[in-house]
Amino acid sequence: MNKKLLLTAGVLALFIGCGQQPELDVNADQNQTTAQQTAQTTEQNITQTQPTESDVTGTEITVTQSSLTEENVNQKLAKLLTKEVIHFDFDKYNIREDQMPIIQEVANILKDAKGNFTVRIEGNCDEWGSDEYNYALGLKRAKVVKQALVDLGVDPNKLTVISYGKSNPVCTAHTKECWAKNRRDNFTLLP
Amino acid sequence: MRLLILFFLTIFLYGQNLEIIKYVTNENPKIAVEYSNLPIKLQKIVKMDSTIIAHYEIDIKNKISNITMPISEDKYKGYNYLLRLNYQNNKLTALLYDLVKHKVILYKNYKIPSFNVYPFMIHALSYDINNKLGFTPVEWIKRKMVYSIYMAPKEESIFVSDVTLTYRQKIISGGMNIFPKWGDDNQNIIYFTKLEKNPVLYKYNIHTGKKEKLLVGKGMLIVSDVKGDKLLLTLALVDDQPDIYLFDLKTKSLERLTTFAGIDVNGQFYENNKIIFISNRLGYPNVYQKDLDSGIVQKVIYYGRNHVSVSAHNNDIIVSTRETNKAFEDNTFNLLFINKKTNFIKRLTFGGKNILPVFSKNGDTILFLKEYRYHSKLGIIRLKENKIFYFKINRKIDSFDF
Repeated sequence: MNKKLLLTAGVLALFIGCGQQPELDVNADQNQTTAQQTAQTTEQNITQTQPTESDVTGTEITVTQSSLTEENVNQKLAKLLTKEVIHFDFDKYNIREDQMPIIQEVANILKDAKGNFTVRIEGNCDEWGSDEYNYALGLKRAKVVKQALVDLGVDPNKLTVISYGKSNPVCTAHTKECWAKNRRDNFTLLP
Repeated sequence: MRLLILFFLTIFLYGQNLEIIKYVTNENPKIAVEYSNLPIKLQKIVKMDSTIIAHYEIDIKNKISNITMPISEDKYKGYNYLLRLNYQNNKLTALLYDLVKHKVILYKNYKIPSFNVYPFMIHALSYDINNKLGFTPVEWIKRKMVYSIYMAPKEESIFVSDVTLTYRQKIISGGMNIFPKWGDDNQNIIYFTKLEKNPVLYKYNIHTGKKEKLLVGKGMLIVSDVKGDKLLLTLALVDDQPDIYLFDLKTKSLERLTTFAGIDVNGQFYENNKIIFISNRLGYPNVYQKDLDSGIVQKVIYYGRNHVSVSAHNNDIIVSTRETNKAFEDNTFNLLFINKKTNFIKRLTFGGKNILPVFSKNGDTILFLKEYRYHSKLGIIRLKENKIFYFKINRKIDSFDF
């Protein structure tokens, strides 16, 4: 009888747990609240430290010009990098000869770019492979391009790598053209 | 008239033969089901469970007024057991009667907090029926599955379900949430990776929603296997190189276990103080083992090439192997079962894309994914029973654990 009760209680505990599984949206809401609180705090600080009317005007113009200039540079760099894609052969992570001119172009862009920035090289794969192996393949694709860029004179401290495996396709049709397009590296300027 | 006699004689002989064949092949016991109230959805899972357990057969027979009413054994000649079920107010009452020994062998209540978790209730009943009939326990049928599903580019969500994928609940969404693994035997905790600016390893309690950041990696970070407080990770910490690391949850320390310049992934705890993993150190992916005491690395399987994922249970190993090498056509991935002691090799699937095999805790069942162009099927292989079953899902599962 006790055994029966224990079993029932065990089963019950399992189901109570399942029924109460929370959605991540709960956490997302909490994060949002924290972010909102931070924003409010910052706003209050700005209000408290507001200077006189003439100072405010002068400061605002300088800050705006500087921000705009930096923003334009970053936007331009991000736009240039978005166009650059390195493609790979099936199940391979060595750089194809026909892709070297593109890597040279990326190297030139990065060497010419001014200011502090970080570019993330994102390795991607087609759908043919198990998930773990594909992630590693994507990472190796990002790593070889990073090394090639460093060899061409790009500061390694400005480059990071990440793999998206097969979870970031640019083309979702199941055709040979799509698979070839998805075996690639992208470049993203990190904020 | 002669023809008619011949016809009946044929039927009689065929029937006789059929009986003999049934006897010789030791057919599974048959269970007749009577119910006073049992929604169709529940009936479906009761039948489905008996199919995938593959130890007994279920026939839903008659509706009765009360499950405690007297049993008329004469109605069920040819059956070994009678199962009576009644579901009311989130409570299932089950009575299992042995028609040969003329006695009740199970009489039990199963309660659930809400109707949507009914698959788990039926799986608990099926587990008990299987035990009462004296078969090898099927613990795996009661376990929860956790899996990540591709939603859109750079977006994967994590779900919890039962093994038939009937109950499904999204538990984590927003961004790339990948490679969930159960963290404890009771299945309260999962480990998973979220791709933020860098890949981050989280511990997550599926009941309380408590989330704890454990580790920030670089390039890639995947939990490949869990054993108590120890995690086997595929991680790129040094020189953006994917290697296998041992992460101790108690001390939060990391130990690099492989240092090959190519690809090492999918580490699994194996035998005494060994790991088994996939590496492309011969130019193509294959299964290797590393003795953590001696440091010696050895190739494990000499049959086939391009082994892309592996799961081990004692001396049994199952690999997913890519059998074609086509850049611009569909490729074939099949599952191979290998016993290391006897070198017995068996092909378990024939065609299609069969990947990510995972052994059940007792090693007699394998779950895997069969991928189609726009959806996945969860495959269940019953090794001793030599049967495969599939459950379809209308999206693509990328990784799972159960």
